[in-house]
Amino acid sequence: MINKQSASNLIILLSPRSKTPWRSGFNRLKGQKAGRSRHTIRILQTDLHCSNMPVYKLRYFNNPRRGRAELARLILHQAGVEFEDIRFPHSEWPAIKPSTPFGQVPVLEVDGQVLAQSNTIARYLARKYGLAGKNDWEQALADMYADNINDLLNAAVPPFMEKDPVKQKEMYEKFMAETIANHVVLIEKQLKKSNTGYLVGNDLTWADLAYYAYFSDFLEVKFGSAFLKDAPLLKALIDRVKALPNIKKWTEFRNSKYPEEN
Amino acid sequence: MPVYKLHYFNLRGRAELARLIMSQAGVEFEDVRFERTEWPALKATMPFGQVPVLEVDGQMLAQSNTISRYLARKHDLAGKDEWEQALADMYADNINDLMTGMRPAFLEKDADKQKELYEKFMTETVGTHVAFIEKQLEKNGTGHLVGKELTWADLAYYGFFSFLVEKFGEEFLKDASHLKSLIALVEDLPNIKKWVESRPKTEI
Repeated sequence: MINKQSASNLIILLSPRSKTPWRSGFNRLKGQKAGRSRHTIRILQTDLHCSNMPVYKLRYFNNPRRGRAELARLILHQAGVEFEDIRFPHSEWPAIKPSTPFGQVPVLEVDGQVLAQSNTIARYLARKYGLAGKNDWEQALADMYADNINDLLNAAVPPFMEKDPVKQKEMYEKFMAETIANHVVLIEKQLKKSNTGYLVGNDLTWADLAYYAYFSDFLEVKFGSAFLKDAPLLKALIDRVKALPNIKKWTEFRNSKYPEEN
Repeated sequence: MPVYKLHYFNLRGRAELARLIMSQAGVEFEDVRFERTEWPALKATMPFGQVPVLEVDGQMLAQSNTISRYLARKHDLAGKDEWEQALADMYADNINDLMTGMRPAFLEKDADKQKELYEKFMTETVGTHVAFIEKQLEKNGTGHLVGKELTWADLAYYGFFSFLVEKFGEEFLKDASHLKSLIALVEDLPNIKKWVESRPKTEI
């Protein structure tokens, strides 16, 4: 849970690199190896956490906006699980890259062991913290929806990378009118079958968080809500996720802390 | 035993991993294959207008890696615990990225440009990845990608890399003895051998 105290701890930690010689002391108390210097961000945990909880470190760029680490963050915040939210500038990437399993981020360190691939990280956390679905089949459905979002993220890359602003505008328009519009119709159909408005079963799963992250946090922020005019169920879902207390608290904090990402 | 029907084009492509998993597990399935000309009519019947789709007792599941993961978990090919399962997922995601990375070259109509794109893909994308995978295989030290036993991660790497060898030859694996051994290990599994010999022969 991000209560006031840990939020203020996060603020301390999310500041530029500072010398914290007492950190190694805290780390030893928590059972971690002492003296491990980390990148730009550090977590100060004054509320010494129960040592049964795994120590999570999520590493990603501090730019572009949110990108492929945000789903893992949403899952952890929704579940009320503490983690070190490490964001590094692109200038530090060449030094960090060789330490990753496949030369990519995000990576999740769990008690020192490293896991790569954004959806794998998200799924692992979702399954651990009750956000993955109630049985094998529901878990598979949630996986399927997360894979849809992965495809849509990939599809957004070519317009995102386009340098010519005129061509880029054209590419984004095509992307919204075709790729996104087609998918919205199909998702609305799936949501119609739902009794509860959630994508999978009767409860919130990481599938809902994934659709929120992409359709609200990315597309609505970038293009406005017009593209959702014929998709009331999808709109209701993303609004519902947006309003979840833990999500709301996180996004309010994040939006004010990282305005450049908006 | 659930009734499995796998729907896809008459290709290996993104359905082959599910077929390899079911074959290795000795699970019966209906291997539904259709021609490109039949696709427009079938597209609307698929949940997201795409294939492969796995029908399980009449319920539809889309997305190739989701299908493969579901089958792997149900048939003991996913890893021994949560962490191993996550590692296997990670390797499968790598293969997914490589397949996606190959698409621009695959779709290129101009023969010269296509040759260029494939060369770039093989030297840069694949070459870089092979170096990372060798390191991981060495670290794991069992011949498998995850833990001590076969998982769908091994099948995923076999599926894609055996295709690359077929298409481009073995040269790109000259410094990748562990990956080469892994491909050979999977190739020699009796159920895989049987499947590969009996499956329809397709270009991709």
